[in-house]
Amino acid sequence: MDDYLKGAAAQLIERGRVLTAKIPRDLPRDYHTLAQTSRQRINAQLEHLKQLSESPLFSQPPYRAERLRLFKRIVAEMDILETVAIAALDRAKPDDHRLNNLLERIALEIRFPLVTPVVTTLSQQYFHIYPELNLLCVPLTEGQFLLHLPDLYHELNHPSLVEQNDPLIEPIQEHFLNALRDVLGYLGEEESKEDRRRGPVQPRFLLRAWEKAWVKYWMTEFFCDLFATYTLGPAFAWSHLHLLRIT
Amino acid sequence: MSHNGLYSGLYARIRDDAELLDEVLISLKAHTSSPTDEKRQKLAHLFLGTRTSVPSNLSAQFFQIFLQSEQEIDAKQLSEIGEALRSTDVGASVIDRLETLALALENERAGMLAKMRGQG
Repeated sequence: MDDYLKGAAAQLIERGRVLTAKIPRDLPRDYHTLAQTSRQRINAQLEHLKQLSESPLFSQPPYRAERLRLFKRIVAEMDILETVAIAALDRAKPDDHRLNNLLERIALEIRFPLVTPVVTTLSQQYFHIYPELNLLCVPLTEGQFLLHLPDLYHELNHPSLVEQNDPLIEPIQEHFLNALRDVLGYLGEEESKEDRRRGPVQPRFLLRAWEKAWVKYWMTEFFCDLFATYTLGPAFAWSHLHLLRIT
Repeated sequence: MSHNGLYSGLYARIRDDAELLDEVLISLKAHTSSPTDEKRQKLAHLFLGTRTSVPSNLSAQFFQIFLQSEQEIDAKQLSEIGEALRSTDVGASVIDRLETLALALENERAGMLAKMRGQG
């Protein structure tokens, strides 16, 4: 294992250097935040990797499990940087530039309180955002059609739920937490009722599954939908008419 | 919204928590940790959720829900671990417990990354 990690670490360090060299130097200013974040994150991972491979502590048996987990996370982080961040910079083209201009104008119009994300058309899975890269991914041809662009507003809100130490956005985070507490309180009460009834276990499994889904996904999506509705208006709801289940 | 969108924000939280837990574990095992260490205090807070700032409470909420739902740890056990991290004496049983949780968090992180890549 020691030999494997030594060889893998050396290759990963070289990979990080190659990735940094891949960052184009002639991109418009819109991309500079992503380029800078990518550089910093690559350097942080390489530094972490050096510590992991040079510290004598990690070759001792009690620390091997931690070493392996730390190493796996470094590899995963480098994969994300390569396939998402550096790919977006390396493949940026005029379509992407136009969408970046559009998002900048949207951010100005709605007085978006955070740094405007960079947009890339490299998404293979509809609209989504990587909050810590501040990178918004949209499908290849999305910039040429209007109908789904309201989703840009939804995605803009994701970073505001994870940003730290910013008094301007703390109110939305506070409301998020309160809403989450309300949901968990309600589901907790329902679970207690089920416990008292001593009925079948299925309803309790369902309540726990809902609890998990609300905390992990639903509340975040719900708040992003609210943000898009407040900033864009009815167009956000209309653009999702096709998602409604009509009975 | 896509699978990627659902997981990318949560992924960063899980990864950071897993990283923090491993770093504290290493210092506990190496006997280089004290209750006043910043990272150890941060981890204790995740188990106890007592800080006043909103983002910090959100992180604790996510962490606790994850452990309660995936690892079936109840609130009492969570606060026992949190209190142990705040004390000067973290026993071997707490370290073993943390080791199990570190493995669970790492598996959750890896699973989430696979889903983000469309492999889950």
